[in-house]
Amino acid sequence: MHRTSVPMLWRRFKNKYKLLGTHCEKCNTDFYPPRELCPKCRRTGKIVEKRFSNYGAIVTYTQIYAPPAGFEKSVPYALAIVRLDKNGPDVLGQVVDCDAKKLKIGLRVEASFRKIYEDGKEGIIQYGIKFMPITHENL
Amino acid sequence: MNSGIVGYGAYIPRFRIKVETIAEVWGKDGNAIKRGLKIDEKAVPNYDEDTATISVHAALNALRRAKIDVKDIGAIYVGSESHPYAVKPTSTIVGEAIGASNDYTAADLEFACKAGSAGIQMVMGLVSSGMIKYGLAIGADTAQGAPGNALEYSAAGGGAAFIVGSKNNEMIAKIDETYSFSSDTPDFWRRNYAKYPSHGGRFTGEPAYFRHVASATTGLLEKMGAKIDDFDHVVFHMPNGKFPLGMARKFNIPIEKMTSGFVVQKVGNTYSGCSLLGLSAVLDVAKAGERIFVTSYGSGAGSDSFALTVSDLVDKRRALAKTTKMYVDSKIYIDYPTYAKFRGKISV
Ligand SMILES: [Zn+2]
Repeated sequence: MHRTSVPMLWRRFKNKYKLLGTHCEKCNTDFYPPRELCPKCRRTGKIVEKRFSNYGAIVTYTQIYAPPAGFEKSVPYALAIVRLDKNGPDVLGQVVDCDAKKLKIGLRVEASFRKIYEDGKEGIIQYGIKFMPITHENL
Repeated sequence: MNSGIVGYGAYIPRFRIKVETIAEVWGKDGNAIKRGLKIDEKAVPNYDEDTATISVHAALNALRRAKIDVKDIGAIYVGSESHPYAVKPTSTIVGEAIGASNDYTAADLEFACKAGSAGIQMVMGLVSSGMIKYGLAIGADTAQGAPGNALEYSAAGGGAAFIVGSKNNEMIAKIDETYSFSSDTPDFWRRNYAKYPSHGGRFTGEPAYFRHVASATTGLLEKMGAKIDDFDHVVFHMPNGKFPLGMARKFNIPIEKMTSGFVVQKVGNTYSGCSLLGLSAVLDVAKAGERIFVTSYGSGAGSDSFALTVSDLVDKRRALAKTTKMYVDSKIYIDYPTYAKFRGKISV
């Protein structure tokens, strides 16, 4: 059985495949995932699309050993909050290609387009952004 | 016909497994295999990497170097024998992830290890005829060999992307000419629903690789009225290290001209990505005015040859993205159980 709503996923491709979120011009707040309404300014806010930096640093992280369904093959994996450069927002994502012992607060990471989840053997493959340690700064 | 490379980019996964690590599992002599194949280690994609994710990384690097508006890309072709879906294109996933418009034509290509170079020829035609402004051609694979099979030592993951345009002042390297040689030769195949490929054993050498690579190479030289000595860097498809060096001996090419694109020893055979990664490694070091000769090979069988001349734009552009060597050198070694887990060789 396929668990995923394909139309719902499809509407988010644009934002999930890259760090494209929104920004409230009135209160100067960034949103990723994007919000269409600013929770602070409500109807008086002005929301515009904004592309965030692909680079950032880990604010905090945890190792997942008991994963939700569909992520069994990836354990153990790291989940981190990453503060994006250029005053970007804090974003939640997996950290990959990183030795667990090298994970630390402040570690510099960059966005990486990865497979997130496969809906069984016959369902859709979800892609999205994860983070990996920066090997060469500014490239 | 006027076309050239305006942007190029590589991507190689970070994980490596050494040939001796695999050999040990099967009770084989790792050093003998290393010497025989001229491969020390191969690149292994993480569990969440596939041809689509590798293609996106390579394409983003090509875009950094091309400095064009991504919306001007009018064609996207991804060549691979490991497309994530049997039906559903990889090329549109790439288009969405790099932020392309919807105003482009796309298709996934398959021709064993040469579908990427076939994609380059297709976009050359489209840009030369003025049908599109820029075309993106990618060769990428997450190649697998069955556990214990000889291919397990070489089948690797990686890819390279090329943006082709027709304005001379935008070219990092002009594509002077191309020529292909194809025939129905069943040296290697994978049937529908089969997880791992089959190959014709010794049949993969003389009538397959050597005949096609030599014929395409000779054919292009004749077409151009050129000699292989006219070229400064040569890349032949690298299913292992032994075959391209054997081909170099056939053509009396000095080993120095083979080294800049010889990525196979530290990366393995990345199939559709292989000769294109070789070309990207050459572009990382080539000097303005130098000439490059590339011949791909795809089982089944065929070869595409290309002659290129590097422009003086190369120095400025190559620094805008990670070089092939940076990817080759950024590595994490893994053991066989981790490798088996990453590549889904364990069924849970
Ligand atoms: Zn607001």
